[in-house]
Amino acid sequence: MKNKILQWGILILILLGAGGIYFYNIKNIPNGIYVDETAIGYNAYSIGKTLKDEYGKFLPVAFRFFGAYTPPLDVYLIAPLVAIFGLRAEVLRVTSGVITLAGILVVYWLARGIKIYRSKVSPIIAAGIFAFLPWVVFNARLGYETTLGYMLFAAGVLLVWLGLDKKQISLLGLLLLSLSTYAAHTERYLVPLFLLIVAIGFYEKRLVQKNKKTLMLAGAMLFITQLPNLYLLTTEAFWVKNTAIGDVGVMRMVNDLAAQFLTYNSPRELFGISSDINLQHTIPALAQFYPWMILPFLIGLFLLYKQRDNKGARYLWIMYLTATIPGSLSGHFISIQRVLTLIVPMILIITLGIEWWILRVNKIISYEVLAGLMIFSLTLLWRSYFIYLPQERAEWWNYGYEQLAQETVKNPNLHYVVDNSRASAIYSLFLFHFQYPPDQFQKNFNDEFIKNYYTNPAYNGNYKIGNVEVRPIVWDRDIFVEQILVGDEMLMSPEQAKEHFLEKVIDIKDPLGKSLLLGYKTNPEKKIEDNKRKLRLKGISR
Amino acid sequence: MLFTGVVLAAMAVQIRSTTPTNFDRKKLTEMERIEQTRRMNEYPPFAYRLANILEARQEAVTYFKLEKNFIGVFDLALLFGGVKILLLPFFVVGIFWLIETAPLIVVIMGLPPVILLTIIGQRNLYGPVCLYPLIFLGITGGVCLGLNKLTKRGEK
Repeated sequence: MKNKILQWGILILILLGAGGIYFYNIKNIPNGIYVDETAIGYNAYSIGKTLKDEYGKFLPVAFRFFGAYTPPLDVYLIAPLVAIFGLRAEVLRVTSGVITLAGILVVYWLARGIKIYRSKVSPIIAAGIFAFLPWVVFNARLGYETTLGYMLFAAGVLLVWLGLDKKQISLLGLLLLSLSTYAAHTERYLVPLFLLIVAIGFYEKRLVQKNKKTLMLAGAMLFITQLPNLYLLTTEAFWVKNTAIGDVGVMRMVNDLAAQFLTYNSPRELFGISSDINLQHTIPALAQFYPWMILPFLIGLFLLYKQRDNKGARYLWIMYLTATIPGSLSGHFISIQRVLTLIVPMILIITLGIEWWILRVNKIISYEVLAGLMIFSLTLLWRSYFIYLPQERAEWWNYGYEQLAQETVKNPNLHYVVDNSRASAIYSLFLFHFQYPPDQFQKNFNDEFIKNYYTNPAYNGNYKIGNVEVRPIVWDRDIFVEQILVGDEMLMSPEQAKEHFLEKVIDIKDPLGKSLLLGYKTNPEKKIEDNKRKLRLKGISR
Repeated sequence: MLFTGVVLAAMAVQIRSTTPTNFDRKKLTEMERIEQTRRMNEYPPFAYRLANILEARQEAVTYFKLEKNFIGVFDLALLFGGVKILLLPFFVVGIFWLIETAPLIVVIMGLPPVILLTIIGQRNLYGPVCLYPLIFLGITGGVCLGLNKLTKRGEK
């Protein structure tokens, strides 16, 4: 009884500590809001107001966003929250934080239920290191659907295991797994693969006979809950994320799959430098796992191999080996956002390694060393996430667009053209920051577009939103119109600005002083006069 | 003796072919110096002392470089990239079996190379040569185990 109270006490402390980290200054770190977050937020806002997405599709089973056809559950979950609390970054991000707090309990119960540990303290250790892992903290503070995806999947995996352990089939577990396929792309492919391998690995005639009725019910439930996905399967919308399949030769496909599988599972990738070139997916100077965890991970892997006859160990092997397969199939580039389902099995394996060490060395010394390592790790997390990230990665989080949006609102009579030739999805940022009326934006799409919604019509990121036009700048036209041209530093050189009589009126810098967004006021009169003068010099007169 | 000899020879090749990591905080490269200065300036005023400890002190510079080198040893993509991925399952099973049955061999063939690579880094043309004997042994063990299982099944 005393032990239970102590365990729960420590769990509550972990939850409180994690909550503090997940919610501290959540509006401003990351510094800015990424287009993938604004897409979710704005579509949730649109659903709340009109029951249609930004394109005008009524309650879609997959949200088109920028052509990704993202599973819808996260948007529908956030819609009422946005309707109540407003369209703000905090609302999206707090939701992920709350889901992750629930995930800490899932990890604790999974560690308890899986029965691979000898010590009763190990589940607490698993919950603790999960809660403060860089990869977990990073995703707990983002408004992405992937957090809901991997947490729902983990909850489903837990319940399915608890059922299997009692030689039962958990309908709730299967339901959660089925629902997770509507949360994020990875789970769409991972869930059937995982269930298939579990069915093969845990097949027992007695189990099937004992649970015949439940299995039939489970089959019916899975079929009904998967009807939307089965419908989508027949459309192009389902396959947009499988760029690694079909568009290249078989050998290239196999090579890509092998390379990506190796990279995602490589300790160097997980405990060291990430190969993900999208800096918006990572924290500066910190890997997904704390580097010291590589040692208990390797030990844990060996111990898991030794316990291969243990059912729980076998289940964990399946979780671990299947986690990165969908991510490996989904594209030609590494994107660690696609393999979040690797977190939970790796935490359980690392905990096994930590337990091995605790059981061999004096307990007090072990706990002191573990505490010391966690303090050091949290210091590095504080440094990398709360100090480096908002300063070094602001550009990657579309920092500056909120300030730009505010600037355009202050000057409603001015016309702005924002160049999107290097970032076609930025229109979403203006929709978000303006809280632009969804029914107005939906007017851009006709009935034919809506009818062909799931056929993945050609994507176009050029829109007029209030007094802002988001499109590539057309140089032989735009400098002759009175407006403000906005873009990044590559938009034009100071010499070109001078040549076209453009006056710099906007200069939004990141926290390190680098100019992110530059706005130039045109001077059509002077430009026209200058052109005439050049023509006269060439001997051409009108 | 044989294993030790092979490992020592491989380590000698590794040492000769690798440009060692420089740990001297006074001899940082231009890029490292720029990054260090920039990062120290990113800390809030109340944490300047911590900034000095984590960014500028010799112990910190040494620790983070050693950590980077150590993690860099376990680069699956470098060790088993391309067609070699087919050998990875054999290596994993083989190494685990060796740890169970002959842990001393794994320690002799694995620990000194890992320590060496952690100290000197992996800036060379041939990769982690000193680990190849262990990798080869692991793969061989895995293949033998696999063949053994197949033979036993055939006999049944």
